[in-house]
Amino acid sequence: MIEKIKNISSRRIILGTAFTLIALFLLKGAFGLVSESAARKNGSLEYKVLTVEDMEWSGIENRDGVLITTDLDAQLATREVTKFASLKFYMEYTIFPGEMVVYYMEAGDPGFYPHKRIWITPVQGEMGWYTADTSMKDVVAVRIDPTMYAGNQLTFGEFIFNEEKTAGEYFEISYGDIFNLVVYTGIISSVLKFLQEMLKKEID
Amino acid sequence: MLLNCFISFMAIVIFAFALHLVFDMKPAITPLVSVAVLINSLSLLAMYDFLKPGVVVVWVLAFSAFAIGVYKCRTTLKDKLNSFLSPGVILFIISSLLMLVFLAHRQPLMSEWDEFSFWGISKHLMKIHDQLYTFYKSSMIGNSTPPTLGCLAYFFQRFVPQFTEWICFFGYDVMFFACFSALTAAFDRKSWNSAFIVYLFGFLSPYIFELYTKVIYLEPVYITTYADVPLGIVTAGAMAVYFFATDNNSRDIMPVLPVLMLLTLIKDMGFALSCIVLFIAFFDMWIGKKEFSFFKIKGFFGKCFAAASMLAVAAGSFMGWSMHMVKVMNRNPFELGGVTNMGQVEMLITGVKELLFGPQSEKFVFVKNRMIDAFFTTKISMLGSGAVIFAIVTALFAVAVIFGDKNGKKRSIMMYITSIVGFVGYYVFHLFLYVYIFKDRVSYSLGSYNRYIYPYYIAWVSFAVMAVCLAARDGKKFFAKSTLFGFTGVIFLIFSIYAGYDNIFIECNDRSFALRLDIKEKVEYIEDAIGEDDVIFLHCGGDNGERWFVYTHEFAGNIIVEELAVDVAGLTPQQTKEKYQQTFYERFKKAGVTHLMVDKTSPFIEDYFGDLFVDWPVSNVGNNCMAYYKVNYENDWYSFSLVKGGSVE
Repeated sequence: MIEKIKNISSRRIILGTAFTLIALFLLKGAFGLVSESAARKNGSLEYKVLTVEDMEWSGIENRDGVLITTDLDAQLATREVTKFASLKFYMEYTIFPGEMVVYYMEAGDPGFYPHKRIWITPVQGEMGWYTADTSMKDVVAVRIDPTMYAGNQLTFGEFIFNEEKTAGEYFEISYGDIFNLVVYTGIISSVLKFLQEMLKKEID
Repeated sequence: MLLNCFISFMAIVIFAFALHLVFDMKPAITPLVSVAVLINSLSLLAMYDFLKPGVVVVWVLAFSAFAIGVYKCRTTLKDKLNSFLSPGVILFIISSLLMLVFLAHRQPLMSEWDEFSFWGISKHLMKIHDQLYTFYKSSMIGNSTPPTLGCLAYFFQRFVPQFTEWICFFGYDVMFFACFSALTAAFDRKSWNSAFIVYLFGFLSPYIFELYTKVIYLEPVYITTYADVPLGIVTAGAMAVYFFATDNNSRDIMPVLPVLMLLTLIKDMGFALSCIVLFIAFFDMWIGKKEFSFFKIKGFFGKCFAAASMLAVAAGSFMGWSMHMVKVMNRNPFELGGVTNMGQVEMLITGVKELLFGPQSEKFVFVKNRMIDAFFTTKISMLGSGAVIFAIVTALFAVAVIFGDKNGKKRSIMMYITSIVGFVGYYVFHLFLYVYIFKDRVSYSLGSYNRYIYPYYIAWVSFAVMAVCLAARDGKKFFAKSTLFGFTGVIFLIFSIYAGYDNIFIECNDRSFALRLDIKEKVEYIEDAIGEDDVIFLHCGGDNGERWFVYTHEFAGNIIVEELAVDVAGLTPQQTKEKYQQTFYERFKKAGVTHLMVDKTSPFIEDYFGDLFVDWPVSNVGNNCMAYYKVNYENDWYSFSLVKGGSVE
């Protein structure tokens, strides 16, 4: 057994690590698909449509029916969502909004954290629609920061939570996934090789 | 577009291979030497105004060197290729290609302030004019900055129809990756795992000093055209090129010469860093290289001669650039400018005198104390203050000394001491800059302290890692390798916690380029109304200056005239208005302003210039509007008539 491990070639170490990581990535996608459709069936992951009136505002004022941001940190928050997987909403603005972010608060968090956030991106080909996607999370509150600027006149349409995804969307690969795949393959196989070197007593 | 990038990249790889073939240079250091030789050649050509044909000349140079190499080694070519593909070179090629695909697909934009006032716009100008920025008038500030980074960016986009920002990033990244490859030079193919870990360390090294805490905004290390990170990484690369050559003869020194020239011509501070590198290298030669000979001069004199040639290259390139400025721009090269209007040598002499013998001025003492304080308290990295970094560097060198072989121990101790001396020199030099050159506002608050100091820290930590690499090759491998793995592991861990990939280039979001995208829409709208020779006065309402600079970057081909402050204290509204109109009139006349551009009106324009608009009143210009007016000069007065204007969305 030990002799066998000593003789594994570097190429096989690297490729083995890479394929294992790819398999794990696919497994993660499959897990998302299965767990979310299960949650959808038992009703805990709910398709939900809210309007801006359903939310708590901060930094936004209603001036004669027009919503205007009053500071640099306008927020819309809701506690009506308990499981969160995606958000899609309609918005018009008068000032280019800048960074748009969704924060989510998990049970036990005293507040919203900078690292628990998802970027909002415009939906390609659907003017005015924005979306933010993540893997399913148990949340107690969700907060939307729709603009970085004060004095922005905003008009909102529907806020659609947890719209159903196609199976393919669970397996979409991002730049971050590719970066992880490359770097972790390098790190893990380097460490394995290091252990092998120790086993072979090549290094003292 | 990709083709140009790819050919230029191939030229670098092929020339690196040629260096290995012809001079039998150590493979891992060839990419950096190749980048240095090619970009230096292009910079030299550019200084004689041959930038445009220069790229092809450099390609030809690279490919003919390759042909010569192939001819020379025609029988052993296969073995040579095999030995060329060391882990460093393979990592260099793979990461560059991945970066190319990523950047070409994602197309990030420049996003930092000084990219629009200098670092970015200089590259834009070079692309528009196909000349170095010293040859013409433009709205750019600071055209005395040395040329290599601009030429590096141009090298990859000579044949691209339009200036492309991500290609600039690609040029920088190729240079970085070449430096990381040089860091791995201690390891051959058998120790590929250590090479990978060191390469990963190199990749993370700028982040050690960019991520202080969990960040929310973009940290654009690999997608910026600032020169601070390049300074640090190329210093480390230059040291590695010298440090890992083990032939004990002039081959130790020759490869580092072009890299020193590259480093010197990155930014003014590059010369200081080059001097530090050669200082460390000289003592290393002295103590660590026994049978050393430089062009057949043996022993101590050979070493002195080698160090002298390094100094000659660094000083020569620095002087060369100064001469270029004298010739082309009629500028005194030794003026550092600034508040005291001191020359460089004068500054050093005055500074050393004041530091050692006094009497020290109030400002000197204040800034000195603040800088000493900052070393211990200012958080400069993810790991802590400068003192913490110093402790880590000490620990790494200690590992190198304890576990290194006999020669390695000596070299590590010497390098540790000389790098401390280098740091003190670098730090004191910045003290002088703060005291004598920078404006009081900057001096007293140590403005941009981190950014000015961390190039040396990046290099310093890399020096320490190099020493450990030496121990991992020649000494007690297990402990030294464990240190490399452990140290890189810790940094990677903190990096993954702090960064979150949406804050670094990997998953950078368009929202981080919001200002750029907003302005790009307006630029697209107004572009066709602007003539090539228009001299534009630009007004951006409610702007802190950043919008204004972004516009100068976008319209780099035109001259954008700066806004000016008018002293109107104690005047009545009517007098204020008259004074404004009069002062601006003189300014317009003098600068030859032909057009007025307004992005977002502010009460300022409406109140003081409202009656000068003949057709489309400026009050029409709302938040999303953009207007371009022609300035009509008649009867010693002026008025504005609309060329194009309207709502952009």
